[in-house]
Amino acid sequence: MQYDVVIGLEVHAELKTESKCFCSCKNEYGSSPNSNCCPVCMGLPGALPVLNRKAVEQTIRAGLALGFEINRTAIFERKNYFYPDLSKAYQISQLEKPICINGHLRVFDKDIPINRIHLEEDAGKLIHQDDVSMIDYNRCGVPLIELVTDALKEPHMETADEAIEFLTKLRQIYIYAGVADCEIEKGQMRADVNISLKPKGSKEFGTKVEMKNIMGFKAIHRAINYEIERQKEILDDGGEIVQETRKWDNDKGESFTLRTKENSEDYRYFPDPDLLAVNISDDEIKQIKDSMPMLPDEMKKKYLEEYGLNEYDTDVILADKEVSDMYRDCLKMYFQPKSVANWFTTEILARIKGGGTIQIGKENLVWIIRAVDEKKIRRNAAKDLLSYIWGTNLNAEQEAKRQGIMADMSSDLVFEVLDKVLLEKAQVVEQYKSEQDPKILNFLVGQVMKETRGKANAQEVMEKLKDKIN
Amino acid sequence: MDIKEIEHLAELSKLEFSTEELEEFSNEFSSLLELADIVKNAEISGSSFINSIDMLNLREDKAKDSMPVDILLENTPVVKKDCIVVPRIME
Amino acid sequence: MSEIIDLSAIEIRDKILTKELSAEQVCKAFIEQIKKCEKYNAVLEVFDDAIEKAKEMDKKISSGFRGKLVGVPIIIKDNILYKGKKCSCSSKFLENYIAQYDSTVIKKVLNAGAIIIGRANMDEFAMGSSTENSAFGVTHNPLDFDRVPGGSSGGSACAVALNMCPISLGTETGGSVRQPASYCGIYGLKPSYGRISRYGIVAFASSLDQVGIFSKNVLDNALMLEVIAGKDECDSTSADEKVEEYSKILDEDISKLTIGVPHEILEMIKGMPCEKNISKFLSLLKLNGIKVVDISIKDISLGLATYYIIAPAEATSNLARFDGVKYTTRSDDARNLQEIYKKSRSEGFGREVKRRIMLGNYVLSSGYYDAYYKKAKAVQHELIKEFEDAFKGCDIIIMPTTIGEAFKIGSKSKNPVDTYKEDIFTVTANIAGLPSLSIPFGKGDNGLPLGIQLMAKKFDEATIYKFAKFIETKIGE
Repeated sequence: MQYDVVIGLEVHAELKTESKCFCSCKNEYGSSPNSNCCPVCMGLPGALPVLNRKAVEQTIRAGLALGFEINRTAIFERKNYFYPDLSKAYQISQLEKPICINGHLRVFDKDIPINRIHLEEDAGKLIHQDDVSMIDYNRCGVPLIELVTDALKEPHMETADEAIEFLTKLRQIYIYAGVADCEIEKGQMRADVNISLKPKGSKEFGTKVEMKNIMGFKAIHRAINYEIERQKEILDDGGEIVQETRKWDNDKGESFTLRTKENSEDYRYFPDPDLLAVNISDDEIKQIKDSMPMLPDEMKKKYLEEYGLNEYDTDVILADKEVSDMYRDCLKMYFQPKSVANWFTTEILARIKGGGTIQIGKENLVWIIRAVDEKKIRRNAAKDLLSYIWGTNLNAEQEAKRQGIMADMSSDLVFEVLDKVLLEKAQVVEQYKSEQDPKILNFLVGQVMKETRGKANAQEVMEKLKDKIN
Repeated sequence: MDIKEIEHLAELSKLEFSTEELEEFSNEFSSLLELADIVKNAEISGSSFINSIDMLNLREDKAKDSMPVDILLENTPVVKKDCIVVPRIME
Repeated sequence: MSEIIDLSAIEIRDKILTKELSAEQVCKAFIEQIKKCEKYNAVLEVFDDAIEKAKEMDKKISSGFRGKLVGVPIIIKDNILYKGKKCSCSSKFLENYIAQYDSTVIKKVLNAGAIIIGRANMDEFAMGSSTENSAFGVTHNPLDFDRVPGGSSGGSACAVALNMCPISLGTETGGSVRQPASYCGIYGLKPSYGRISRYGIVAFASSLDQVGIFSKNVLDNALMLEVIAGKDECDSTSADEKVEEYSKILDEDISKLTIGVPHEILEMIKGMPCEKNISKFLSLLKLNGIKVVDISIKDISLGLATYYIIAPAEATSNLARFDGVKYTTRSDDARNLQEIYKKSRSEGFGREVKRRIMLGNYVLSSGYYDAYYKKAKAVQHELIKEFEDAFKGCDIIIMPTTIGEAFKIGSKSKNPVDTYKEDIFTVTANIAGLPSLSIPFGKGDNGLPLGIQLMAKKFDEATIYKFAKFIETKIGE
């Protein structure tokens, strides 16, 4: 039987702020356990939440980047459940009046509708060790936005590829808008996926199965395909899908039941009486809109049209904001978009593949690119130089001089220039061949010297020219 | 209210009761709900009361010092490596 | 020593400032009195560093320190965090809990130079109207040992009534200061919601909770409010409203004030012990040329039921953090996480607290939320509007604080709703967020004190105090 697949996503991203969502503790990853905590984080008796304005701004910014409407009044609710990573036994979240409603994101040729983005607090971290679980509340209270796609509206995401494209683009937008760093391995972006199947063309939705907290886009891709197949098999065999939450085991490449609907939680949401509803004015929304950094789609247009890059190079550079930002910084110093792009898509990307950061300053990089363009350094020598100064404080120019790789015109580069001159001045060469007039040879040497801007050794050039011609 | 419903509330409340206690609760709840039903049956429509604040007046995003971890965990029953400890949780 | 403990807070302060008394001397006198009154079980703990703190204060005063409460001994309800001191909320669950930080009110009181000498008994987690729900035994009424002092701040009320301190702090959610003030024959203020920071007060129902003040006279009460009131960065619900120097405006003219009495209340109290007292009070007002008008708060009778939905709902959520994991006592029998939760909570919480947690979960649970909690919030909104309308025609609204005199210990424990009805006149001020002061006026059939509440517009504590001062000097008995 043929089925329509409906895929919904719930994506959590930790916001970039200095302090936490409801207290003034640092929003910081990787500190020693419970060192970024106060009575609010720990849920001590008598502690009260005080909302961080920046967290609201960042949520609005995320919403505006995705074409959302902004609610003029936002309300915070308590989501009540017991779990050790939740210090108060409730999470401050939003239910009835989230900050952002009705957005969308273009995925290939579809505009995927998004129901909402709301602001909430992250929970703490559990470390399981031997026979105990240890609780670290550093992450407790970190501002978190949850985006929920609207699977009830057309069009739906139907394939794992679409879901991954959605997540990739979303991540890029968050990063470019400056709302979140979205480092997957730090848990700064996490996705839950829900999947249902229905007979092809049917109006009625099938039973939804949710998969929680799958780490990494590759794992999500696998998990989606696994779940689609699993449901297909059940339906083909005439079975029924059970509404449940499943957990994906990436090592085994399969999922298992976490809980079914019967024992699902009743979260008893109600407006948090410790907080006030937040009034958001048109002015404030406009200010955030006006200060919005350039987003990937707009940036892409600029790269294609203004810089004349091809689509491949554009996508490769845009995929990493750090690369893209530095690329444009380099252009400010040396406006050769294609030449500079070439260095980024090859040399720079190769060196940061797998999560590294760019470890060379833009001044040094531009110097190297320019030197190659101006034939002051051979390309291979430049690549070696780049590797040599990568991750150091060395100055490219000084290092090139120290190593004596500049104007080393006795080898490849001189040959290159020689060949070029010989080709361009073929008639003169023929003349010399027949006449053997030293004046003609001197003219040719002069041409090479001019091309190399005097960096080559004239005596050497003459010897080489003689060799070549004869 | 039947015992099953009371048991459900006890589960939500993370409380344990003996059978006698459950029965007592079940009896008490009828009079408690009689009181609550006055509201349920009241002829009042209209919105909930909620106070609000302008975004401008929210807290500025400035980090301050946290509580020293030894004070933070002063009352914690079981501590290991500056973490609060519970028996291993099986997912 | 007896003359020291009879003094008002302001008299103590002034005598200390003029060196007629030392803070140490004062502190010792009140601690002595606490010991004498031990059998009332009003004070759970006398802080062992109190006298030391008083000595330090004497030194500070010598080097020029001044403050509105210099050397004044204060007793606090056991749900107000004072760093380094136990704060048990009269619960077994928090029996050994040490406050890890100071509540904002404590900071303010200390900055004003007060000496905090002890913590007072209460109904567990402030749930109750008699102090019978304390895990550490009932507090006795200061005027009749067989009766309750009221609650939940019964210990704080009893302490002031028996001169264990001149001023004490309690907390209110539905009458927990005014009702015991009435039963103990003293003044008890529940300020406007948002007037005093709740930061560091163990929450019961966040949208209703406020710190309250017990005193033997209006002036002391007003002085304390001006010290502890005000906007606090740590409490989003605290209000950025002007705090007046209440203690300095008490003698302003009140003859132009109009007093409103809701006819629904007059209807309600027919046949109640408080009925005669109210009539007497009103006729005395009229005799003194005060204008008294009939007003209407149409839905006032919905107050109690509204309260018993909102308060348990919020309490359920607020008390969920007490789970045996982070700071409350962990059950010795718990072998896994679920057992830590269930056994610790079942062993730690008392009966009434469990009842309210269950009730709160009921009104919040799916399928019931709209009919109960959401509806209650709508009724609250309606009541707020009705009070706003009523205050267009008067400056002060008058109601009895309680149905009658303090009841006998053990007389009401059977049916919970019976006890809940104790709060019938007090809960409306909490629900509407209004300030209300219970003043002692009149006696019941057993010769025990009764109280009358003076309510005003939100944040108009000033008018209440002025009027109360007028009654204290011109009409009071």
